[in-house]
Amino acid sequence: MIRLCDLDDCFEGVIPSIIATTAADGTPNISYLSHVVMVDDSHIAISNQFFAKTAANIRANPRVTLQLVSGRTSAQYQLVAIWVGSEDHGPFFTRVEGQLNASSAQVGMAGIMRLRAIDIFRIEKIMAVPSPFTQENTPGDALAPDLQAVGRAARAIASEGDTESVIGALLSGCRALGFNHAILLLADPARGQLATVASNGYDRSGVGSEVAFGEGLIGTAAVSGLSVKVSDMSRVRRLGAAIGAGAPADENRTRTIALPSLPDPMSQIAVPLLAHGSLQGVLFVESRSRLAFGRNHDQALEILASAAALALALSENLASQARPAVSLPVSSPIEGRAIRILHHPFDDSVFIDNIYVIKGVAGRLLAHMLEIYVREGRCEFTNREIRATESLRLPEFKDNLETRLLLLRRRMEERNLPIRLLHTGRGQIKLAVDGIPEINRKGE
Amino acid sequence: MKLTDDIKHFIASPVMIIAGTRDADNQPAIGRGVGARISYEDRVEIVFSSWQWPETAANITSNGQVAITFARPADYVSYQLKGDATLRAAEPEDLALAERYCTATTAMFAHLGVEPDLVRPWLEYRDAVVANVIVRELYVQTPGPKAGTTIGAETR
Repeated sequence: MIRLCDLDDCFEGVIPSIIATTAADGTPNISYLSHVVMVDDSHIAISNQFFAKTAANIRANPRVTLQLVSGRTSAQYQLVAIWVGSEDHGPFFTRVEGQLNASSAQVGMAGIMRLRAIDIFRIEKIMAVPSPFTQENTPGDALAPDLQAVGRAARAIASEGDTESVIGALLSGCRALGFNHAILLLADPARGQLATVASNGYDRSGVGSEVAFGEGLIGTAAVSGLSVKVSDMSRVRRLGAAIGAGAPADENRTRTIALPSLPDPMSQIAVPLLAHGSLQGVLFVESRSRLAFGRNHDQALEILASAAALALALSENLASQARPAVSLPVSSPIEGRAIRILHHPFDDSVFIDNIYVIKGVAGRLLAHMLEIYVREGRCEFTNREIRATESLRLPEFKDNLETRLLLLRRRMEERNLPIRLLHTGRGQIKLAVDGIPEINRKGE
Repeated sequence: MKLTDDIKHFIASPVMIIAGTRDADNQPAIGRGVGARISYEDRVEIVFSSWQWPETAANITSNGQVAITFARPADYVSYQLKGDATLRAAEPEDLALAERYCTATTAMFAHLGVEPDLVRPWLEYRDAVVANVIVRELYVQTPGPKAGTTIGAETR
């Protein structure tokens, strides 16, 4: 007997599903479905976006037949089902809505396909449609991730004690599982943004690039707290206009860092990092293969993401309590060439020698530390004192200071600047300045 | 109802063909067509495999009510027609139509990046039969606000 959970590949949205219904007088109706989601072992949900006839028919005769197709093998299944009701809220509705929003946003149609309700069906019987293929000549199946490797990666993440190492272990874990293109973005709930802190498998690291909450797959995962994926980008692209990849714009002018991306991805997944229900960030993974992420791959990524979320929350907590071993102000000799620093308070963007560094809270932190350095000659700072500085207007709770500092440090290293940030211990950082900074605040 | 030239042309191009029928208990069934032609002003013929879609064949024989959706994967332009069908055995020209359809559809999917192996299970015409459909109603079914709009329907 075929079970719903055996039809995993049919729920990836690669091959459109079909629904047939009948009116009260027996007249059949047949249409394609945009989204079908497995609710549990015996129920599915569909988003019936535009087809009023299907909606009317299931109310007249709840007996329907659905046809699902495996995106991997093209095997076809007919499902005899009974409509059990509609929902316009609740966890299933949220899940379907998240998927719909994500795929619409990918093609620049955000908001056009607003989900009004979902219809839920109980599956009575599943039949395989006769196929010219036998078991032996069925096109290949993707390998499920190795549970041992998932376990090793999760343990490696849990054993790390600071933000940077946790993030490193998460991306190594992704690599070990064969996810070769991954980006980790950390959440900044106060600004409604996610910022890239690390990536793997791209030409540019894209550290500092931002995605707004609710935007595309990544932003949708952040807002919904659920994993969202696209398994065949070519279908998503055909559904709307082609996505213009375009050349990266000059970030010194736009103050916008481009998100790293593959030129021709086929599968993408965004997995939220949640600790105690609060969003730490989003892990984004993509692949050039169709259907690269089956349900077991999703599970593996979710296991790594939750291990990383907890480890990051813990690192943040420990760093905020740490006291510096030496609290004496250390003045380093101020000599060398002038370093021009420009700080725009309106968006807290900071430029060093005309090179755009960063904006937002991280920009404010950098400007703050540089001002103290210039004023007092001090170059060592602790998370504790930064957190206590009111002028920095740090969000009171869950400010992710460690990750903001990491993001800043990575970005400064990458831009090859005469000023760098060094991690000197838990909750401690140091400015390494090669020259004499001259700070200019613009627009005040 | 008479079919417009646009629809006639669309139906005969390599578009996906899906048919909905129902049994005596009003349980719907789904089948795929592998070739369509206009046989008269208001008549469409669909070739399909009775080996792969036995319920569709049985339902057409017993009550003839059918809904057929034609959809173009490249841009999702779709039309649905409804009417009364009779079933007949496939003639050599029907098999030739199915063969041409399968070749053109495989090429169309290859152009969209879908490999021939993946298309193969949808292009079966073993034990081919032909549904001859008198078209009574025709609807636009392209996803979007106009989905479900009537192009024409005859009163009966």
